[in-house]
Amino acid sequence: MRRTFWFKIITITVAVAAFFIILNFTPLKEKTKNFFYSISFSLQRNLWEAGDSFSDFVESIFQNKKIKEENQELKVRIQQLTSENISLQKLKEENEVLRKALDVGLEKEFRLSFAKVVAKDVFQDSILVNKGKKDSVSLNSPVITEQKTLIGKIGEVHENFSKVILISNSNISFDVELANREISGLAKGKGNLNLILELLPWEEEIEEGEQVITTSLGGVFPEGILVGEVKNVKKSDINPFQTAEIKPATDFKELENLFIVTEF
Amino acid sequence: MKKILISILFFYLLILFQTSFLVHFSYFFWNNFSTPLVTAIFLIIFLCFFEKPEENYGIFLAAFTGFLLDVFSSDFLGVNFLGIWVSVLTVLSFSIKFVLRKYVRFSLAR
Repeated sequence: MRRTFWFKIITITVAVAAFFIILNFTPLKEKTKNFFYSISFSLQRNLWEAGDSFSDFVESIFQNKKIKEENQELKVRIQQLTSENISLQKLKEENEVLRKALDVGLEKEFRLSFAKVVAKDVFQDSILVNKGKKDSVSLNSPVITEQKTLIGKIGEVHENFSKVILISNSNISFDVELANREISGLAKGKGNLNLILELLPWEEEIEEGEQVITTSLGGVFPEGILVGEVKNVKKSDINPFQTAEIKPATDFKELENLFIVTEF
Repeated sequence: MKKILISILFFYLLILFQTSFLVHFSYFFWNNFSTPLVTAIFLIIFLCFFEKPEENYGIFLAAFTGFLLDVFSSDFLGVNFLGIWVSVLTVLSFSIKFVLRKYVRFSLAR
């Protein structure tokens, strides 16, 4: 009885093993799988779609906190990059200004200190720049642009900042001459960003548009720096000298980058 | 017989549910071993609580369930062979039956 039982078990086991060996090593395996996949396909597809959407929903709940943190981190990162981008942009602008100055050859003629305008007081014809005693800026140092045009001179020097008195300030007067002609005059600030040219010899014929440059007389400004151009020449019989207005070569309202001449 | 047919249908749906629905939750708890493990647990529950120790339908159910696992699982420990899970689950059901018949006695309520 017991032997019959074990005989049955062994026979069934061998038969089943033989069945699976045949199944696995013949095309029957693929056909069997294909049959079960075919009958289950529509149900599996529905379950798959349902599982996909449900898992997305569950994941969004569980990952909500993580997403918020990530969002916060990304916002901080964006702020950092924006600020970095702005400073790079400023550096680029500075670089362009310095490049222009190099093209003009300013560095060969003078010892310069690059400065940026931090505040403007157009009513008092003065501006504040970001260079001071720390940068070897001294009182009365001339201030020019990268195109070698005159802006003014240092009126006050602080530790990190300096006040530039514009050439249009009513307290400023300096010697000038007309470019390519040996005709001297005196440029005087009139305030409100205006300049006049005085003491021009009566007998000289002066035309509008002639360029006015600095001279070495007085020793305040280096010679040959462009101040502006002549306009509205006035000549009268009762006055021994001619006068004119000077249209500044630089728009003082648009100033951003300057050079302080520390040595000339 | 009705019980065994319902059970076969149940295990068929259970395996489909696991391989098509629950696999999407792999980032929480579902992995390659979850499907056979859950199936085996349900099989053990069936054998222990829904079938008398002297009945043998559970063994056929285990073989068929193992066959379904073989069909719907890609491989087992790197082996892609129809019959692996049939063997595992059949041996498991035999063992449970053996333990239940030899060592477990149910007391009849008076």
